[in-house]
Amino acid sequence: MAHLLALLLAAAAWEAAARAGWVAMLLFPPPTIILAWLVESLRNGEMAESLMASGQRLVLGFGLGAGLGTLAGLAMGLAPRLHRALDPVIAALHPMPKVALLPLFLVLFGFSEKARMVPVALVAFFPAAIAGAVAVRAIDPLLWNVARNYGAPPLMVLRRLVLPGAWPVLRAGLRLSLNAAIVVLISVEMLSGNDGLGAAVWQSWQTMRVEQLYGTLLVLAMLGLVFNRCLGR
Amino acid sequence: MRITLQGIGLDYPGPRGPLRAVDGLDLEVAPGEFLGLIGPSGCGKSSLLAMLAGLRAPSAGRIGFPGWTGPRPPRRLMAFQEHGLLPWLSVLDNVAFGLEAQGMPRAAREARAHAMLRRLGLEGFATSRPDQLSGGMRQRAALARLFVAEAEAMLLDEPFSALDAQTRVVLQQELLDLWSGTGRSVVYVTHDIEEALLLCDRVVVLSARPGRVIADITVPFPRPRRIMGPPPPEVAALRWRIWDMLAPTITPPAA
Repeated sequence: MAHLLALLLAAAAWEAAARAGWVAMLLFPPPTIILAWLVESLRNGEMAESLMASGQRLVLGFGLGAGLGTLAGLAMGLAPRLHRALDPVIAALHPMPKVALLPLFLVLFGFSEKARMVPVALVAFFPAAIAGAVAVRAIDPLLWNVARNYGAPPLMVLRRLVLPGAWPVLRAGLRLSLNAAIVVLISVEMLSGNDGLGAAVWQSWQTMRVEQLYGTLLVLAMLGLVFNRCLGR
Repeated sequence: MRITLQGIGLDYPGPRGPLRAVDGLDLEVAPGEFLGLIGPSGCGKSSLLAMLAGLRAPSAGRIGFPGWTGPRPPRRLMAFQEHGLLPWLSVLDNVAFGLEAQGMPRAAREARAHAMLRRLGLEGFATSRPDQLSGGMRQRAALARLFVAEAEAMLLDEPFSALDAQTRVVLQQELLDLWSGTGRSVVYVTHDIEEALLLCDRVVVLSARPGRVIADITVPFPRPRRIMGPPPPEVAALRWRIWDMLAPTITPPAA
């Protein structure tokens, strides 16, 4: 309730400042104009189209990248030797800007959905892998001893100890993966897309319709809120 | 089941080469015996339990189960000072953990776990998580998990040392009641002389590092025992005998 009120107050101040000419209308169009564009784009299906395109890429790219990352991370957490072998590779590849490689993927995969999803999947991979490895190693050694002492078979160890024990840390890693994936998705669409939220952002600058930029970012914020909430707080 | 330990040695990695924690230790646990291990901290009591449980290999010597003819090695299950319940599992699932590990189907293992919870007065907490229980109830659930699994030997590592005095006495009595009539061997590690005398048939006193057996005392306290009242006078007298043995090992070395 309190933050809704604060948001409304900020919007009102912006509106007043833009209408009074204290800020440049061209760069900071008043919220009512942004809202009007948003309503119109929702009504004529333009926004739904962008959302569908981006949402699909996000779900597939994040799902693939974070899924493989989680598997790799859990495996590294369970096998210290694998961890020692892969950790430097991850440390070297993680900071590499995946968007910089987009032209390479475009050549490799053609101007296809695959080329746009690969950077998203790559960027989602690393936080999930790092968190997965840390999460497994953070499980109380006493509980490992309990499982070993009681002779729990491997599948039971996975189901009763590893997965529930790793989940809190892993979940934080998945949220970081998701947000990195969203940022890269928008960048990729800005660079190469003819549809999606990123393309809409790019187009709004090209046509100097800045209300379209803010409206799209607003929708993106909502998208992030929904997806992040799915992974808990 | 009889357990024999022969010439057991255990080395810890130390800053200047290996540190001998246990050296040339011989010990026998008779079938159905409640054996106490007592000694100063660092004498390797807990490591000895871990070796008995098969969680850790001795650096020297061997542990045997003479006369054991089962198709699998005898089950030796531990109870820990910090209960070791899985925080994300319900009390029921925790208690049934050992049975699940043995491959018992859900309905059967839950029936047994429920019966054990009833016996220990925890039936109202079957669906609770461990962190919703008091410290005493958590140890009670840990005992339930241990006893429901019906191991050939049970190894308890100071399970009640973190509890308040009143709760401890109640749980000690419950432990004796659970154990009596099972015919299973128990090895009970403690640093509390009185607790060792109240619970055990025999108390083995270990020296400071490297741990060796320095005394082996049979406790003249007939079973079944009621430990909530005053113990027999000969048990009380033993307390000071053991204390005299342990006291020199606790005195800090002169500078």
